[in-house]
Amino acid sequence: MRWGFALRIAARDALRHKLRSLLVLTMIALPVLVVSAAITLVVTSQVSGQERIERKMGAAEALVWSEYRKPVDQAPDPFDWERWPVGDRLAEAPDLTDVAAVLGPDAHFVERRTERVEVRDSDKRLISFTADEVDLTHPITRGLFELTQGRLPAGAHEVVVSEPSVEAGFAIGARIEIPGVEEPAVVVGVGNDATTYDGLKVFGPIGSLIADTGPRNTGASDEAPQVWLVEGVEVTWSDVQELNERGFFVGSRAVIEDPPFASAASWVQDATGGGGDQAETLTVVLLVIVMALLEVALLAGPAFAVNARSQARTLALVAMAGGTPRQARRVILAAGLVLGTLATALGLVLGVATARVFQPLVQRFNGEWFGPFEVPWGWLVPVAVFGLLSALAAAVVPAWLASRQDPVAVMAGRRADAAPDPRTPVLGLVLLLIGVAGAWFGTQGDYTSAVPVAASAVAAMVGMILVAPVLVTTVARLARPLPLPVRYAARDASRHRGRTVPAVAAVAATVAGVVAIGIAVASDDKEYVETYIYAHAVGDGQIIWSPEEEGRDAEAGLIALAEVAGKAAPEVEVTPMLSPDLGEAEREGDYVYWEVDHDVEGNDLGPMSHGGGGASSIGIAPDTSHVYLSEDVRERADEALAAGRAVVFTDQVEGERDVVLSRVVERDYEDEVARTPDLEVALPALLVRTEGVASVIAMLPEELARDRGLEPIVTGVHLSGVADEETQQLITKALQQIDPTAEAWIERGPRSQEWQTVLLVVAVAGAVLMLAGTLTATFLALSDARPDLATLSAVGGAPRTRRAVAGSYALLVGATGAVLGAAVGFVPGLGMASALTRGDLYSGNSGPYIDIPWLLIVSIVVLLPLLTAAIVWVSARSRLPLVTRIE
Amino acid sequence: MTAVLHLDNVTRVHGEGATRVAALRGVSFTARPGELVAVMGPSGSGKSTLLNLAGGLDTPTSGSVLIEGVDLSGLDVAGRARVRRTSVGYVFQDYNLIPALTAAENVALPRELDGDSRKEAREKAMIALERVGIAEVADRFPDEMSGGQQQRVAIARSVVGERRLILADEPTGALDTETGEEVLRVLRDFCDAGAAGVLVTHEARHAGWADRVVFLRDGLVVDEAAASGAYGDPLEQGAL
Repeated sequence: MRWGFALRIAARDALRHKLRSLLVLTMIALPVLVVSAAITLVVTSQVSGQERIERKMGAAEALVWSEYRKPVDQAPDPFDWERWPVGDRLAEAPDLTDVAAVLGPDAHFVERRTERVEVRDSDKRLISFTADEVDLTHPITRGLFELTQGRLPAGAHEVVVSEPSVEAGFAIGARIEIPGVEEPAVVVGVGNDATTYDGLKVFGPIGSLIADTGPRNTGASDEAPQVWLVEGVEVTWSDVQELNERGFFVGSRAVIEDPPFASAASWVQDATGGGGDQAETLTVVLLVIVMALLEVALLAGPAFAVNARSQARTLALVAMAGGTPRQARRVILAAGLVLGTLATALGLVLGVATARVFQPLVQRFNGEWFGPFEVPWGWLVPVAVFGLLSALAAAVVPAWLASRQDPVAVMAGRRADAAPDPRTPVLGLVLLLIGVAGAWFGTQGDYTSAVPVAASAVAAMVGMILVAPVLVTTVARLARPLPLPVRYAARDASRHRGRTVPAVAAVAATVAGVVAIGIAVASDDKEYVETYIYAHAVGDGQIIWSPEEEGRDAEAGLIALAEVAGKAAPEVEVTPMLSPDLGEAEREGDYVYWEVDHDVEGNDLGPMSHGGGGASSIGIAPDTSHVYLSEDVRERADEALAAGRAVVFTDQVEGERDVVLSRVVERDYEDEVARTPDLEVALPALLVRTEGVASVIAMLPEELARDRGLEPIVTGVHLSGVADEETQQLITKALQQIDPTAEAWIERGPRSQEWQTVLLVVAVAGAVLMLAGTLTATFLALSDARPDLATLSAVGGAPRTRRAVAGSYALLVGATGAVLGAAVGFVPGLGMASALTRGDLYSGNSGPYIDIPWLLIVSIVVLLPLLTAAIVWVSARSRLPLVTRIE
Repeated sequence: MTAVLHLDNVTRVHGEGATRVAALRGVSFTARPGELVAVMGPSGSGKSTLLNLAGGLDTPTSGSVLIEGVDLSGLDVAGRARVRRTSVGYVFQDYNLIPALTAAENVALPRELDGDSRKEAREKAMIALERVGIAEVADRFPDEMSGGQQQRVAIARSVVGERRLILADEPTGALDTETGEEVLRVLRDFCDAGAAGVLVTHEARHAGWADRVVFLRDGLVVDEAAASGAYGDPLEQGAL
């Protein structure tokens, strides 16, 4: 028999049983729809190099800028951070004359400067804007800004703004007042920036928005780069390389449109030596795909089991007419092919349509404008293949079982399935053991290996399916002493494993997924709670702000904020916190801080506590009352401070010794950091070990600080007793009256509600799937058992007996699947939890943190099957329709 | 003349131990070309088991089943399926047509299973349908036909191609008297044309269409006789 015949039967059968076909179509099409919509949206949201040219450089031939005062290297398309510095610091800051020297006399340049600025609104609040200084009337800038209202700037103090800026109060006619810029500008037009969707942006001519801050291109990390748009010459790859050597990055239209390498990505990989983990990543992706395939196949499996069951007589007739088991399998597999093809096509079309419909909505959550709508066939074809394979995989087991049926038994009206192969459960057990061993092996050693963990999940899942028939049979044996409806349901389920096993496997797969995700999420949360670093005691906190000045210049502002906070909430204790003044040490481009890491003899003090949440890592105070510490540490620290000694919080050493407090100047050149202690002070200190970390490195009494020439200044404001969020908001509101960047930050401890929401969503989704699998199997069983139920009724069985049988069947399928799935779910669950919570190079090997969400698991194993049984009990018909002949 | 069907000392035992039941016990049976053999006996006598063994749907516990000289015990599942496609046709009481296929497609089924193209199979199916006199319903689905028409389609399916053994299990059980007789006449015509037929029936008047009647009881052949209405229409010869 050729496939054509099987496909013909399958297509006609699909049409004859529309509801069943719709069920399978939905199961296969839904994942295809979701995945293809997501892929289409992601690809559409990505801006290609070609698309980006217009957005970044308008009509220019190239965009040239300097970020580091060093020679650089870059990909042909340097955007998306495919660029980096190489070599030593250049003697001179890169300048336009360097660019002109490379590109020749025909090159013309239009300057563009971009920087974050604070714009003062009519209420004198400061609002952060991106200022873009460029001459938008110059033809070279065409495409950078799309004007929708008003006109482009014509004079030195005229600007245009992005559309979101209008909502922030900057419509046409509004004044743009920027601290540091002498004359305010006036908004004369509104439009869309070519790149960003939702940002507050203001465009004006050079000098209209950004205060002149002196020399540029110094290589300082916080400096906004100076950019030139180039016209008049085509910039070649060799020009780009030459400019790279002089410290410039170049986005060249000619190079991006016609890259010098076959694949820019491979160039980046070669250049960076990347790609080492690709094989592992690919393996994990493949295993995840296999898992997903298995899940979809298992969920659609019961529907194909229904199909195979309803076609049992057809298959028996095919066998009697000379059909082989292989030909019988083809009939069921053809159903998978027909419905899979249809579902995949439907899923793809609807997925692309959904992406198109939701594109504007998703755009709102993305700051950058999407590219043009794009259907990524290169990605969608594998998705389609995936959908088709899912359908075929779902049909494989029912087809195999159908081909093993005894045609004589079927024609005689006997419905028992063929005896299971005794090797199958043994193979299942072996695979389960391999799964457990793989998960264990994958989580041994210093770091979790993803491949064995993912592979073990697949092995465990397949093993689970193979073990399911034995479990169903065992349950039937155990049901011997139970009441008739349960006993009947258990034995019927066992006798008709062909339809029971796919349902049990579907439920088990769902539960295994929920349990695995539950364990992973709960463990991740446990790690978060247990490694949470308290900056203060719960209810205490501090004022955080971004002053324009540093050190002593900021002190007055901070004291003013402290006063405002005290008045806003009199019940809150407001304490200015002192730290040693860093003095005039801070220089342009440098980062200056205090450090204690060794004693006067040069011995390492071990890992220090960090200054998390504190305004300074060194505190000056008579006691530790405003520092988060355990009580025994606090007692000893207070005694030391009272005795005039410093207290240093370490993770290793304890005891009294003289330590060195250093003022370190850190000069950051992006890829290398120069650290130079420029002041060192010896202090008598008590070293105390803290559990976890304290919010300061060290504390010293004021007398000691002054004695060593360390001038105390106010660097922070401590808030005690902020009982609720209302008080916190009240203080913040009061603070922002005098400084919009200030707010009251209060320690509330770890907040772990989010994982419960995730688990709830997972549990509800799992419950729906479980319900669907169990209901399908139960109603199929009832339809199948109609002759037996009729007999039951004929011998005096009450109408409620049928309901009881239905409920018992649902309970058995649900509970067996749930128990099996919960047990198997532990394998990938523990593997994932271990991978997620095992410490790494940065956080130390503190994990893994394992938390088993027993409430969730017990609910799924006990409550959900009961709920399913109750639903079936209520919805099952208590009386059979009269039939003339039962086939 | 070589027998189309030959059962040689066939025993078929179901179950083991206490549940052991011998459905057939040392039965020998032959059907030759042009011969229609009726098999009669009470329920449980082994009639259906005999038909299942004859078609290779079941295998004997001992003894051998030969179809056109081929011993089925030497064949695997696929081999026995091939014999059914090429040599054996079944006719059932409930017609057992596939509801999703038209009359012609049902008849063409064995040929398509055997690898004929759809067109070739349909051509052979149409010949068979013409022989049973219902070519006009070729494109109807089973639920669009009367019982008699469905059973004629089933007979056409059992003889399509070159098949020479028809195994009929109570083929008139679901039909009224007149239609049943028409169906038996068609069956008789095929045997007269050279096929061998085995007709399992409860009713003596139906056995009148046969050449011989074999009586089974408790798995044994207890009697064998020429049919009372041999070689003629029992209605015409007063068998009723």
